Amino acid sequence: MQYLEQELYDLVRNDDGVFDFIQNSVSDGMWYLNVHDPTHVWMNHRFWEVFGYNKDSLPKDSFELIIDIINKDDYEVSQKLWEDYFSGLTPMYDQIVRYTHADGHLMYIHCRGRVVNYINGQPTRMLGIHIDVTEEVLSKQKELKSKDDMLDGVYRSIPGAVMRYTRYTDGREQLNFVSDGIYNLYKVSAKDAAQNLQLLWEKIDPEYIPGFIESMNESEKNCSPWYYKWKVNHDDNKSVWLQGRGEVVRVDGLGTQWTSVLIDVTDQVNAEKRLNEEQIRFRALIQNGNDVYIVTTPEKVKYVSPNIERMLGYNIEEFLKIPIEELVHPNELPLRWDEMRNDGDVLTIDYRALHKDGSYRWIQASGINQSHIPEIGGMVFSLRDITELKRKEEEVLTLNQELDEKVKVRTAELMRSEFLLREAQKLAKLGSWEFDLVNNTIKWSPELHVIMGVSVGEIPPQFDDHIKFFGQYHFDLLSAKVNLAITDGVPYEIDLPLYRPDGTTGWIVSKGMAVRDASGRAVSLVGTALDITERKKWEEDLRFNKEQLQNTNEELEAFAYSVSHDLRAPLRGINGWSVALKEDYGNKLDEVAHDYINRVINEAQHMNEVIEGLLTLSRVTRHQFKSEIFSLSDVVKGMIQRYQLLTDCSQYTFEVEEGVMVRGDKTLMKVAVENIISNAIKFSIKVTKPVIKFYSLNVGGETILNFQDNGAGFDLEKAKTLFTPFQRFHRKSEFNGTGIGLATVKRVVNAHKGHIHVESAINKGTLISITFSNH
Amino acid sequence: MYTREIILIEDNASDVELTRRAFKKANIANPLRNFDNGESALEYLKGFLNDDKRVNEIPLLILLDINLPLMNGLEILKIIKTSPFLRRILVVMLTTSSEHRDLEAAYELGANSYIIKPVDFEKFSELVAQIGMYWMVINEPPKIISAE
Repeated sequence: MQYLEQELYDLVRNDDGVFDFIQNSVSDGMWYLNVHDPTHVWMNHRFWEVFGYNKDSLPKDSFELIIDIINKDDYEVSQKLWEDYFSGLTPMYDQIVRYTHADGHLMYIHCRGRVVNYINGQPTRMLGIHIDVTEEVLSKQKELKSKDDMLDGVYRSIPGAVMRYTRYTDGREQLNFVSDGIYNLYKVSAKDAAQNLQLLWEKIDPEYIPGFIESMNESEKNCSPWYYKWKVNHDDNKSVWLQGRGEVVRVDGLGTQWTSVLIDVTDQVNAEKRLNEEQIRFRALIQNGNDVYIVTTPEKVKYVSPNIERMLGYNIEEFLKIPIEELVHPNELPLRWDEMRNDGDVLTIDYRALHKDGSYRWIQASGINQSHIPEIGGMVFSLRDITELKRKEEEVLTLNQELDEKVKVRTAELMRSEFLLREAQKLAKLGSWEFDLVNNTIKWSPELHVIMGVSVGEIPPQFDDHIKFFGQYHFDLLSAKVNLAITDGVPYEIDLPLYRPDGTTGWIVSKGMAVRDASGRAVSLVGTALDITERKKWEEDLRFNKEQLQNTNEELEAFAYSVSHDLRAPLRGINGWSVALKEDYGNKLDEVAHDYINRVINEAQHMNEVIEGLLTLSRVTRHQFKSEIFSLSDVVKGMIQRYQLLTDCSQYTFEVEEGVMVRGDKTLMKVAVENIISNAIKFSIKVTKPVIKFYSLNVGGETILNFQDNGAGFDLEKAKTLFTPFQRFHRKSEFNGTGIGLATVKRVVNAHKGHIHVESAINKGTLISITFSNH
Repeated sequence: MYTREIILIEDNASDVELTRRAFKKANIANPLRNFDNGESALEYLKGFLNDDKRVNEIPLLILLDINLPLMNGLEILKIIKTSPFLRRILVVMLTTSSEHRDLEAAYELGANSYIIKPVDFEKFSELVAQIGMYWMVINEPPKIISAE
């Protein structure tokens, strides 16, 4: 024994202070117990301090307190451990016991003890110490928890599952562990799989089961890691590809255990499959298309696709032997390699290549420098035979030139037409416009700009802004018509007042119609605008003149009315009193006086006729024209009958054509016929056998109405003034008549827009021909 | 039997005398009373209306010119023919106006006849005789109902 150790033992034995130091500082409590009665126990100050109590003021008996704060399960365990210790199974009582601290928190106390005193070989006393290991235990627990969490995380995050599987020597198999991820792979839950491993086997595509078993046998035999890739069919006809890797542990005579990771590699497998298919297709394209593909460097062709033989006649071996320059037309040299110096440079060139038969073919080569890709290491070109294309291009070029010529000629023609149209519009003061409904834009012809007073360079205003040209009222009218044209396809025409920006005013007539696309939707309106300012002015003048005329007519009417009354009343007096004179004093007057009186009566009667004629003429002038179809023959006959009633016409012969129908104003025509017939009767009175005829002729769609007599006739030389009122051709004493008659007839004919023609010769009679248009 | 008056409303004195002459020539015995304007004629006619004893002496016939001073013939006609009492008097328009519209207006207002005065006196005389015959012999004039 070392002397310091010997000294320490002596110190402990002799100096209580040293023992106290030890008991208070090296442990978290010390206890000393009577084995025969464990309720007899001594604990030091430190013991209680650790649990939060003061040894000098414990709330109850120390043993009872211990029973209170010790964990019940641990207390039972301690009984067992005690027995083990006393029966010699363990060298020491040694337990981690849970206690409850005075403040309520759980404590882990490492409690160790041993018998320190025997009497008669029987243990009587035990000494023990407490070490507070709460922190260590808690941190250990924390660590374990974190490891479990991590493992769970791993299980969850891998696209697959982790499993431990055992195959026993007698053929039994068991799933020791499987993570939840198994469900995603097999659509079998971890719980079901663990209970019935067969569920997993059933999902494996039968084609892959032999290989699966083989791979396991191999791994077992060589004690080498397991690897396999297989297909799993789900109930919904979908399949997934799984890949498994596992560590293997073999216990001879017992069995083998694999700890494996299974991963879903479906995407990967599919991608591989696709890649493979693409490769096959790609090869098919390259070998069967018309184009030729080559991989080359400036020095040497590294690959050429088999079609080269079809393109240039050489097979692959021949082609690869010929230097590139020799295959190119001398005019195309040198080759433009420098334009594709850098990786990724592209170039497309047309050049002539030498065919094996000695001809040149036009080839279009499109290439890209892919030297940076090791598998390629050069430029990739696709070659296309464009000989035919070139030939067609040239044809097209020729055609295009011809077409260009034609277009030029037509353009010139068109420009000329446009020029003419523009000039025509300018002359006619006619503008045209187009209103694009889709883009809401308006185009005006140059002349329309002029009409509207907007300079030709300016953009025509939007439709809504036209209000400033036409004013609110007319703009609303126009809008309504435009809308109708768009919705119902009604073309419109409207007179619009025009207020130009420069302050001048005018009138236009605007016409428009909608243009529709194939579906019937109105896409635009087109139309014209004609400057009718002049016309409007004339219309205004005309209206004014018409009013003037109306006034004049009214005056004339008043005059005629006055004439009929005021002039005829005195006439009646003259006539009446003359008759009275004759009747009352006739026997006192001589023959000359009688003659004078008769003259007075005749003059009065003649004047009455003049007034009648004037009234008739004015009535014809004022008459409101009414058109109808009627028999003129009947009118003529009626008129003749009237004359026959009034006067003796027995010596006259009347020849009237039957059934002559005319369209006209019956009242006016009656007046005309009356005048003509009365004239004919009057001027035939001295003929021995007077004949008066009415007949019609049809000449070129016109009806000529003829009134003929064989009476006195007149000199046509003087006929210029024939139709002027009061013109007379006979001395009054010879014939009655006022001269107003023919003027009246002329007015009637004019009202019918017809013509009147007179033929006459002295003592040969007169023919009056009236021509009516049949329309 | 009392021969009832014939009223002539005419402002032209010459025409009035010629009419009297024609009546005389046609042997029409009825007294002819002349007014040269409508107002005084209507005044006179209304006198019969206000005097019960004279109701039955109301004039038989009015010869009415159109072209009159102040109130024209058509206006007078209208007043006569819209009066429940006076409308029974026969009215013959006797005028120089051959205007169609005057003729139409007269018949429209209820004139019993429309006669255009001819310038020829012989014809005028014949016409007056015919009027006398027609209205006084052939036609049965409306009975005058006493106010009682």
